[in-house]
Amino acid sequence: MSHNDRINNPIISNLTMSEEMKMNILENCKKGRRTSDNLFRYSKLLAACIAFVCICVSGVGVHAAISAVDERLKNMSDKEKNDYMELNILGADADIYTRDFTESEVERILILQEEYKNGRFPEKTIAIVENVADISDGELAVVKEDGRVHLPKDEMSDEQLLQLIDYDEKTRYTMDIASEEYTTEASITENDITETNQEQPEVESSSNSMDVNETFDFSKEMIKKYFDVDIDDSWEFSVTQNEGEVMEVNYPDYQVVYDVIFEKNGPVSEGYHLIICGDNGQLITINHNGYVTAPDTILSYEEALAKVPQGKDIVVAFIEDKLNLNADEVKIYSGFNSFMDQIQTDFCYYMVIDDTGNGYRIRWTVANEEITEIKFYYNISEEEINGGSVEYTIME
Amino acid sequence: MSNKTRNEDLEKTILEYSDFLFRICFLILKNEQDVGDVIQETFIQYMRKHPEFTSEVHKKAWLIKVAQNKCKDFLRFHKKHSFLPLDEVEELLVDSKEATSYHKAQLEEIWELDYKLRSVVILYYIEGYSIKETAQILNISESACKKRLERARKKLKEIL
Repeated sequence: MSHNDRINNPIISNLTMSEEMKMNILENCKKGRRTSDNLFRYSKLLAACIAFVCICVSGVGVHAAISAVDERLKNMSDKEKNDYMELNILGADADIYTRDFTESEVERILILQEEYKNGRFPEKTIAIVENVADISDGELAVVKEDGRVHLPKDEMSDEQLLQLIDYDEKTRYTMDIASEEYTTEASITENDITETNQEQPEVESSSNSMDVNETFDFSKEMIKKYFDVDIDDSWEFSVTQNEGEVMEVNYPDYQVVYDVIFEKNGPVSEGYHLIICGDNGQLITINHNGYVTAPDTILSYEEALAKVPQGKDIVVAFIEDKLNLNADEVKIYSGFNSFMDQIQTDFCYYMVIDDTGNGYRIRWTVANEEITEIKFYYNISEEEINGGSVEYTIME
Repeated sequence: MSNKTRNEDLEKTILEYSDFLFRICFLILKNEQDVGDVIQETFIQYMRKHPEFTSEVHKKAWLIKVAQNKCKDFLRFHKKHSFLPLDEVEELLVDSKEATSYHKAQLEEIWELDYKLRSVVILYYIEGYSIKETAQILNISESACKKRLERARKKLKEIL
């Protein structure tokens, strides 16, 4: 940038964090304490103490486990949901737990969290009481009066830790419900997908334009086609029509562009994100599991570079199978994204250009050796290929 | 990495970058308590993910990216109470002999911008990142970044 443009304002440059706040943050991070804000309380159980773990479990096991947890959450009674909603509000400004966890509790929680995912639930649910005086000796309880989880003085039993894990899951689940309600103003979700025809914004119609219901169905087909996954009722989803600046900047040539998101909530989260042009039903992007990879699986540049040919083989098989392209008739480029002049090796991008000028940018997650995103370019010139932050080189 | 080394690294990182993150987040959120929450969550993410950086510049950029994403989430869910009037946050603004009423007005003007414009102004005009870097941190295209800067410039005509 031109530093002549820079704003030099002593008020801004003198803004500093108090020493007390720094020390609090340090202590809280060391103890794994999340902030008291609901927004950040999703995974409050000791998240900071836990090294980032790559979850490697078999597909069947994961699906069974998620289903068991999801079933449990969906079967919460209305009264229980209301209690949790109320607690979410009451506890918004409170420090959640009344004491820190012991080292042994931390270790057991880590194990029990995994077991919970596999269907080991507490025999009873956590006690929810009106005030502190209602807590029995040695009992683990949530107190409505202060919105806090009161931990017993003594080391907690496995049953109590399971109750705590269960409480955390249910809190997250009810917060998700509340959060969905908050954001429904601008989006269309599961609850109103069948009644949206009348409420559709006015759109310049074309014979090929898609409505929300068609977009939803089309999205499921595309996930099946590209990732071979059936989207059933256990998935939460939203279909949102882009507006304003997002449209102006990113899709200036389109009238209607939808963002479609499918998510599996639960300890093992999973999601698909699709961007679809509503004008003509063209798929713009389909993405699996966002843009995050486990940092401990990120390879060095040399290691990642060595895997590029292997990724190409997978991409070639993919385009022949899913896109009906003949590998001999396309050009394939590969490259890595760079961020702040640093090459990012978590994903390798392959740009495939067919003989009609259409482009397919295929993202290959290097560590997992999986294709996790396909972006479609309708008529892309070779000059445009290198317009973004990925520097491509053509592959032999 | 052992817990001890990890804690030492965390402490060093907090001491080194918290003022810098505080400045950026405070300019976005204008509420000390919210900023504290955002920064704590940023460092928790740092601890959890423990990313490997090839340089301090890279590390700094990663921290900004995470912090500003958390600010964005914060504003999305807490629009109603995130801003305090300047008078109420004035005690936080260190008294400086160099500061004039012009500087105060300048800060007010920046705070008047909506999040999208404010975030590009903070990164580009205050922190000195290039358009490309600002776009990468905010996860927007360079053209979107330029467009936002152009719109911000129009609004801040008097002070830039």
